[in-house]
Amino acid sequence: MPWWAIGMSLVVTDIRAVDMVGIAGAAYLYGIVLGNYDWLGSVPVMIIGAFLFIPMFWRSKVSTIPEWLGARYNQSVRTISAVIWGVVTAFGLGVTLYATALMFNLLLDLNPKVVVVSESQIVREKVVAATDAGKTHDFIFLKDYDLIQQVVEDKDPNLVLIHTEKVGNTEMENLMYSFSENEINAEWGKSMMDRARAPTWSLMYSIIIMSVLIGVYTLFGGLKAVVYTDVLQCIVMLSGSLFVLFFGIYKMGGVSEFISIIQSLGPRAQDHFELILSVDTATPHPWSGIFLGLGLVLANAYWFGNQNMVQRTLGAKSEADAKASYIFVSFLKILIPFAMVIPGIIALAHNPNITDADKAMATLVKDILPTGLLGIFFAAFLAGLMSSVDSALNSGATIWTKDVYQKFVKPDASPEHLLVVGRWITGAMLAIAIFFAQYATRFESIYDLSQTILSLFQGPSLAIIVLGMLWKRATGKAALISLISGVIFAGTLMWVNSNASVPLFQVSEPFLYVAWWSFVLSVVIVVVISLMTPPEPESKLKGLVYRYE
Amino acid sequence: MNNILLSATAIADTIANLFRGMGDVMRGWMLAIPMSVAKGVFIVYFLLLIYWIIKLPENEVTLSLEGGKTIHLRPYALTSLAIIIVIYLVF
Repeated sequence: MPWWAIGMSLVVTDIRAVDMVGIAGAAYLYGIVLGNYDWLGSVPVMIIGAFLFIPMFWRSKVSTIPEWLGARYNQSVRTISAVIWGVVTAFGLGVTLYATALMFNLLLDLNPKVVVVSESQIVREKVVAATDAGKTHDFIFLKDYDLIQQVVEDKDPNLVLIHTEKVGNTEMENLMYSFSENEINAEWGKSMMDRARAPTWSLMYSIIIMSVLIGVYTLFGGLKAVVYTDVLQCIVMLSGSLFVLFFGIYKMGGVSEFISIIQSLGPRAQDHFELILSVDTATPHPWSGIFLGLGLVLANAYWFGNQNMVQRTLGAKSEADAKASYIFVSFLKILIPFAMVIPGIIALAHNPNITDADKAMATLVKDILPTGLLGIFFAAFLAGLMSSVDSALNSGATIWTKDVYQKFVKPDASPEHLLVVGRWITGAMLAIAIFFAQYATRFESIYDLSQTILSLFQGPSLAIIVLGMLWKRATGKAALISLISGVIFAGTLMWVNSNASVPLFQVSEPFLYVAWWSFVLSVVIVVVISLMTPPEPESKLKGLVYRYE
Repeated sequence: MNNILLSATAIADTIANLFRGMGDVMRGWMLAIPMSVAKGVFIVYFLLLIYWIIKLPENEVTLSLEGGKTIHLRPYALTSLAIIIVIYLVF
């Protein structure tokens, strides 16, 4: 495959539906700081990859990262790495499917609705919190009681809650309830949601429909089909998202008007145009975590230790194409924050009252784009979804088939047999992903959830890849102990953080710090244990360690 | 059930206390770094990469594609990093 096709495929695979929903949602909450995930987390890393990591993988003629780890260290490292990566891929798919279903429901207006009539912003926020339905229902806020009949006719809400100040002597109809501010609490919220009309469409239905459609499409195509459809999807997705950017700013009256609206929102948006935030920021993105956790660990692990990404380049026509594809991506990635992050901030300027930040992008496009253009955006979104799901399925199935099934179950399996097994594995991964998708609602932001999952194993994984590639003294025993201890350490940090009476990290969703510290620990373990164990034979290391031919 | 939750909290607190002192000290150091210096850290990182790319041997940055066409990757990599430096200076 040529460099430009691989490059576009890498971009569209990376952007994923999770990002289209999650990055814009996180940018709605935290601002342009999310741009770091591309400008720091992709551009420099792609360049390092082009000249350092990718040529090493390409020359060693492996088809999966665990296979490279097996060649460099030993088969135990290969197997554990394959199992970890295979499980994480299935979980990640669940998040992707959830993000997709969320957007799908919003764009097609399928979510159940709750109408709240109140002039008070505080009362509105209390109602959303008490009902705990911000993620599962769309909230429609009305200031004026006179509009209620029209909204009921147009939107067919499942529940209407009217602040007593607005009711007067009006007779309540079915599914309409009045409330006073002092009765709002969790119990009241639950009882109100119990009285609401049951939704006719569930998020789960959307998840299953999406899974079946994309599962079938992936089952009957291979990596090549995935890459060439990605090229078209990249063009549609980038142009669709950039259109939302320009049209959004145009509708707001221009760049200066957009900036002044954000500035007028006060403290909640005071840092929305700051790329580097203080260590004591209330967001999950302090500069220290961004630089150490993202720039030095998560980003490198994502682009070099991620089978999804590396598999593309391993299928390049030549080493030159593999390198050129990464440099090409470094250019395309400069554009991504303009297509994904800024629209999230535009959504905030457009509507500061969205109850669930992950609905920001969908709400924006639904409100500002005319019907025809909405269709283009929907196509762009589906493109992102198809690409991310098919890539994850393809790479996950490759790892399970080659590194687990072929190695342990049937070493002499024919290619035809492996193809059939790969299809069964694809189906099983989809089923696990569907199961996991329903738990994704528990996180405030999809993007944070996705990064949290990755941070559990990316630090240790990167440590053994980097040291294996750059330090010929690193041994298999050290890598094995480091990988296992690093993942356990990362999991322990997460667990301690959420169970201790006072959280361990003074930042919400501490995935950046968890990635950094598990990386540091893993590096220390590899170095110490390697120096205590006999070196690997020289013949084994040739071609697998940097500049050691 | 409550007992299990209580003991989970107690174990988590014990482990957290092992790290908290060291963590607070490091956090204090990080907080003492002015934001302008923090931004400088990012810029220096990009500049170091630029230096590394300039120093790479020619055979690692100039390659022949499948069709026989030669491609020089160094100028593209440098341009990409230069744009990023501008972005970090602006925001």
